[in-house]
Amino acid sequence: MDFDTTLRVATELFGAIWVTLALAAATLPLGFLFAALATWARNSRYRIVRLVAEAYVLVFRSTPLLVQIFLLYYGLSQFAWLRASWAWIVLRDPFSCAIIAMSLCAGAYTSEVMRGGLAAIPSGVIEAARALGLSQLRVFFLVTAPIAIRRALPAYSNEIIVTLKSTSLASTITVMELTGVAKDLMSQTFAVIEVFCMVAVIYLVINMTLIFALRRLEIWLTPDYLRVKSHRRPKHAGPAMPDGAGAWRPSRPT
Amino acid sequence: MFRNVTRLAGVLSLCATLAVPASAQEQPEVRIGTDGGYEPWTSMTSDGELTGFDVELAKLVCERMKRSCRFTAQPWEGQIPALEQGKYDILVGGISITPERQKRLAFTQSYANLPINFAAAKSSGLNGKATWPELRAALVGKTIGVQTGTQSQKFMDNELKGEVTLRLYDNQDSLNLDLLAGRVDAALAGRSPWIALTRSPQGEPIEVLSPNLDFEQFDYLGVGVGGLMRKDSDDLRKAWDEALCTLKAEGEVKRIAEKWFGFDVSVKPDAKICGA
Repeated sequence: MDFDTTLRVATELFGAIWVTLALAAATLPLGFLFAALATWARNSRYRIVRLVAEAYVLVFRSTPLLVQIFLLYYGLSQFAWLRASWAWIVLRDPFSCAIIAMSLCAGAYTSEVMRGGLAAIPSGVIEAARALGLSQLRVFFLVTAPIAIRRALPAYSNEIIVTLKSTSLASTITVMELTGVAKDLMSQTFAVIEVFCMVAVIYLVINMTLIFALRRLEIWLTPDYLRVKSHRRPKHAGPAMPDGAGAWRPSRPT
Repeated sequence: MFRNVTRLAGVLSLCATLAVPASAQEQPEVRIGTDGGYEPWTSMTSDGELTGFDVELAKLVCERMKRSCRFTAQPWEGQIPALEQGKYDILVGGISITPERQKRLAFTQSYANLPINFAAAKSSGLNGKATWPELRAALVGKTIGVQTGTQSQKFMDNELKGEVTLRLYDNQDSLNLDLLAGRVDAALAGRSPWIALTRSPQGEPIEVLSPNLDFEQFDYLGVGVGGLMRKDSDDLRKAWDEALCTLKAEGEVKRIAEKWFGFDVSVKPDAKICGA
């Protein structure tokens, strides 16, 4: 690939980063909302509500995202009555179709993450909070949510990264995000390896930034007494820490 | 004496029958890649068998070259990388001969050429324009769909870049679906897929727009369709071209073209390759 082509490919790819980021930025909050609704419904006292939520999570976790996107985009457009309805305003647009399909899928997975986070809360903690006389709402916001978020964040950060990568499927319904532009450039330049290596590097940089930021957030959310002590050698050789945090290191004769 | 002669003849004929498969075995199978989803060039029957104009023609070429051929269906997107990696010896299926492709790869002689056309819903009011500038003026501001990596996409880049909303599709079938659903106002493709669509029952609301856009007005649209191969497969290209020369001269290409397109899309034998 000569210099001019490289420059053109790079410019077009960088222009497409925004589409990819916009897709992820719209999908994640919407997916979170669907997940919160599903989690709430799964804990409902009404059996029918629980069943609907379980069915939603089961269906969207068990089918490929590509199939979901195709069904929503090409499948629904087969019905003339739907094309005549107000829903067509949204479904006509490939970008919004991609966001809806991806949010529904992300919502199902995130709901599982939330379930895991909630299940990890020791029942004694809730009982203790109730015994202190806190209202149900306060127990949720002061006790349940902080613990659940901390437990669920590693799994949720995984979900964020998966969502960002799955935006590449939007190119199959004409949304020109990073992978779509790359396919187009590939057919123009035939420089398959070069173009897709550049795309891979862009995804890598975006996701590395995300992973780093989420790691910082995890550390920030962890209370001091729970933090894993750094692996660095202590500056002053002292007695082993009382909680045994440094105990794995063999002691050295001085 | 007579008995000896017949015995000798018998031995010789046995040698001959053994020699034919032996020499055929020396030449490896020709691996042909084709899309299978680009009617009427290359398509699939309901039994999953490859068929179409290019497939039928390629089978005839193989017959003439006296070589066995194996067809594999793969979407167009990934075909060129697969060819370059040596997974195929030749690609067929409505592949336009273009200077960009010729830089990296080699083509057989052209065997078919037909214009590209816009298609739109009959209710769009876009039809009936006599010349390209008239149609162009009507298309400005519309949403237009084309397939990625085709001559139609190049046409849009050259003639209407920035003046329309361009949607890129992985394959013709998806483009057809969105044209029928009204997600795109018009679509551009070779004349042949439109004929296939408008003939089908669900394609009834769609019509092909005039005028025809061809290489006489737009020279970058190229000289037609050929088989695509690597630059290092000179032997196969020569054999393929030779077979094409005979098939063209015998009118076989024209016959198959009329069968699949309903009209003659064949190209005259290339004088440089076939001689006068």
